[in-house]
Parts: sequence; C-alpha cells; structure tokens
Amino acid sequence: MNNEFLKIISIFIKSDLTQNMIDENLRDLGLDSLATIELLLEIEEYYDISFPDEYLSEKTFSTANQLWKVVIQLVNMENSLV
Amino acid sequence: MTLIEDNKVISQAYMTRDKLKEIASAIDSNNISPEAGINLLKRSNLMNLLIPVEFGGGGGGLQLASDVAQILASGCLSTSMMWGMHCQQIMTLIENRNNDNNHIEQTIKNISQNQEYIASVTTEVEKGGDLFSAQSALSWISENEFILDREGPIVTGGNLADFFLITVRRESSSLKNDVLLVLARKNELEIRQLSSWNPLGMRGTNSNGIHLYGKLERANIVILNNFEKITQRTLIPVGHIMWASSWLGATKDIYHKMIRIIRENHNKRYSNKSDYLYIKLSQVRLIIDTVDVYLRNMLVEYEDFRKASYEYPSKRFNININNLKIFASEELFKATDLLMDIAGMNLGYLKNEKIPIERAFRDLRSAKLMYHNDRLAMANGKLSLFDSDLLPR
Repeated sequence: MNNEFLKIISIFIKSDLTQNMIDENLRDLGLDSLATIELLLEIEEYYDISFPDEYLSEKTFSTANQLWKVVIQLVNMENSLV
Repeated sequence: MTLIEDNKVISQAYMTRDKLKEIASAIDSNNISPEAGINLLKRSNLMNLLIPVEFGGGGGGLQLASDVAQILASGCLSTSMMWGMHCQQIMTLIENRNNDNNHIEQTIKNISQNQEYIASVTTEVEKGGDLFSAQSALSWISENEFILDREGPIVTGGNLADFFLITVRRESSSLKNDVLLVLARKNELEIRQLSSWNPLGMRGTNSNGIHLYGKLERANIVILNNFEKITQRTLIPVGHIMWASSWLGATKDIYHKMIRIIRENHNKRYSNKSDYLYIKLSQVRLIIDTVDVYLRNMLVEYEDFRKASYEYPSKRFNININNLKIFASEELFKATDLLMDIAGMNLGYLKNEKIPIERAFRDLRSAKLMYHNDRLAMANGKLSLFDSDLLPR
C-alpha cells in the first residue's frame, strides 16, 4: 500500500494512518458516513477511477487494507481498458 | 406467485428493459410505432402477468406489476405506460366480469395464451377523458346484437391493439353516466385512423385518434351495470398506480444516470464538492423517495380494500389514490427539471447518448395532463367535505 493512499485516508480520520493500522476499522478511526463519501470522491479523482455501484458498500470502506484492494483492482481494470 | 417466481419476473423485466433502451430513442425521434417494444413485452410473457393461473396467466400481483412498470420505464416510458394501461384493462376484466359470461372468460384465456395487447378507448371529443360518462351510444339491432360506432380521439397504442376495451353509453336515450364496457377483438371491428400522433413527449405511445365500427353481440359487453363502481374499484386505482409506477421508474433511471455521470472523473465540471449540486440532488432524491413511499402505501391500502370486499372504496381512499396521481405527476416532472438544471445544456437540454433527460422531461410533462390533475383536484376538494377529520382514532 503506498503512502499517498494512507495520506488521503488520513485527511478524513482523527489521526495519521500508518502501515500498522491498515486492518483497523475505519469507522472506529473516525470515518463517518459523509466522510466516507468525501474519501470516495478524493480517491476516484486521485487514481482516475470510478467505483461501480456494487463496490459502494460498507465492506469496501471497512479498513484501509480492504479499500486498497478494491482501488488496486479498479486501477488495473482501468489500465487494461486503455 | 412465490418469491422465486417474482424474482424471475423481475429478471425478465430487466432483460426486456435493456432491449427497450436500445430502441427507445429511435422510436421517440422518428415518432414511429412502438411495435418493437410491445413485441418485446409479448416475447417476455409479460402481457399475462396479472392474469390468474387458472386462466393460464402468470398469477402476479399488483405490487409486482408496479415494480415491473418501474423497470420497463427505466428503458422506455412510452412502452411502460402502454403496458401499465394494458394491466389496468386486464384487472378490470378479471375483477369485474360477469361470472356467467363464458365468452369473456374464454377471451381472457386466449389473451393469456397468445400474449395479446388490450388498448382502452375511454376518451371522446366532447367529454375528454372523464371516465364516468360516455357520449357515443350503442344502436341495438335486436335483443342480442348492437352496432358500435365510436370515435376515440386519443387511443394509446391503438394501432397495435389486439383487443379494445371501450366505454359507450347503453343506448341513445340513456343518461350519459349509464356506461357499458365493451370488449372487441380487432378483427370484429372496422378501424379507421382519424388523426396522427405528433406530441411533445410520450411519442412512442402512438396514441392516434381512431374510429371503431362493428356489429357485436351482448356477450361482448364485459360490464352491464354500475360502471361507476368498476371505475372506483379498479380502473382508477390501478390506472393511477401503474402510471405513477412508470413515471417513478423513468425518473429513477435518469437520477441514477446523472449521478454516474457526475462521478465520472472526466466530468469534473460538475464539481463534486459544489453545495449547489448536493442540494439539487437531495431535492430530487426527496421527491423520488416521497413518491416511492406514497406509492407503496397506496399499494398496501388498495390490497386491504380488495381483501375487505367492500363494494366501494372509502372517500379517504379515493382522495389518497387521486393524490398519488397528482403528486407523482407534478413532483416527478419537477425532479426531471431539477436534473436538467444539474446536467446543464449539453447533457440536459440537448439530446445525447449518455442520458435521456430531455426525453424524460418531455414525457413527464404529459403526466399531469393525462386524466387532468385539475379534474382530480376538483374531485378531491369536494370529497374533502365528507372526510376532514384526519386525527388518529
């Protein structure tokens, strides 16, 4: 997981996200519902991807690790289309 | 129907919707007959969804039909409206037929087996869409035979109909509210086109004016007495529910498409962080959700009424079902207007490949004119005089 990704998430939670926190629940770290949407938009813009509707679930945003897996998958899909 | 069967119907509706999407724009642009859309519905076995299993039908309920109408409307509102009105005619036949009329029962079985389409002929030049009266009268030749000679200035899907369900006055000396309902197969009638359909929206319904003439028999009469009861029990509630469902489905579709466009990165001009955008989107969502909840509530109220076996619905039900039509038609049009504001000139006002807002806007503009809201508002104002104590009891 790259540090830019951690930095983006850190904007929306109480403390700086570090590599050893990537499996912690983002809600517990202060990511509320509206912040989740802000985070989604930020990630989409940064990585130039769009989350399909089926990925817009609690599970996707449960932990940084989980979210990163989805982002990587979407980035790869995007690249394969180019 | 079981839940699994319901789910199969919903899947079928989505598959049909996807095909409708491919043809909706061309039908609208070229003002051509929606034959392809109706044929898709027939091939998907949707024409007999509401016909009971004992008549060879799908045995589905009105809640399921409402859901299907929403899904179809997300592909083509014109086709969905035609299907919704067909469902209205089916429910009217099923629920109000004379039990001793074998001809009608056999016809229902045939309609079911052949996936046939029923158009309704209720409008007349002098009375407009008023369901409770008729001008044209039957000319009786004998005890058993009569001549039907009837003009319909707006007949939705008339050129594609396999059957017509027609309101007429019993005879020339009858009062204008002495209305009969006649069911005639296309080949029992001479059909002449009176006018062509070139409207602002709902172009795919091809609602040409037609003239119907034919020698028919008493067995063609579905409802011989007390037409007002049938109107209140079936025609109006089912009609309003199916129309509202279709309008709601079309609006949900462009709302969903709009948000997808906003979220595409190359459309950053919509500025994801604009307060204006979020406020407008929330206003659209409020309308959609409110109509959705009201529609669901009316489906439950209607089911309760049917189970209770009262002859007539209550005045409160009449007011509520009229309000469903008034509210859905006016508010969902406002929602398309708001979505056009959000989309702007290129993706909103102009026809484009991404989102059919301008078509939905034109289509939804007709909603309050169909069985005009002013007529319903007049009725509701009067009915309110008899039902004004709304506090809980």
